[in-house]
Amino acid sequence: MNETDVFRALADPTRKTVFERLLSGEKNATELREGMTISQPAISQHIAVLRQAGLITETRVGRHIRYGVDPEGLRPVIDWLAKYRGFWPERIDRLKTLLKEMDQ
Amino acid sequence: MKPSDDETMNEEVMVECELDAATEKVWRALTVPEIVREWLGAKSTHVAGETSYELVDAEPFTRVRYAWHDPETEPAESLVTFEIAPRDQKTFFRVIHSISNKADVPRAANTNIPPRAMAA
Repeated sequence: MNETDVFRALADPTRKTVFERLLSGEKNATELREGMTISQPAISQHIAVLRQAGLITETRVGRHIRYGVDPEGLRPVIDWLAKYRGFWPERIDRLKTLLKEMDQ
Repeated sequence: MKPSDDETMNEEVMVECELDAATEKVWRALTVPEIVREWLGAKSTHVAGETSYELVDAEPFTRVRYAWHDPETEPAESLVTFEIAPRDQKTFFRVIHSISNKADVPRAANTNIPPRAMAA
């Protein structure tokens, strides 16, 4: 799996909404679609993209499919955010120091 | 009602602050590769295995964009946007580092700052 897929998958507002809905617990496709002006085939497409990106899992119970969040799926996002949340404040401190030195 | 993008899950890091320096000086610190390297530690030329950036967009004294390359993260490519604006003798500074490297990141509200003639 290409991990960049995670970011592509979540860049779409509908898929992001679907994913966020699953954060509160497992749902089936109908529940995921609730309140959205989107067809069943379209939501299935979005679900497929999220599955391919490793963000969600599906569980079959008889003829019913339940979707849930794959806890490992967000790891690249979490790692990326952790790195750069620390990175920028530290670099800005260096910039502040440098700006002082630039003229004086 | 359409919720603004930054109300839900955010795949970006944003830091804002005020810099005690003239905007022209901050501009130089963002656009002169030797100065950028000194505080940011990233090179403007691509070297395998190292963090680097490429200046992809620059609006004088207002905004600078880098295509950011960090081989240690997934994804390696991202987008850094700096926005600066004069505030008295100081400079308002904002950096937005976005995982999505699409260039259509929404413009921030400081685009309504009147353009001014700047001495070189």
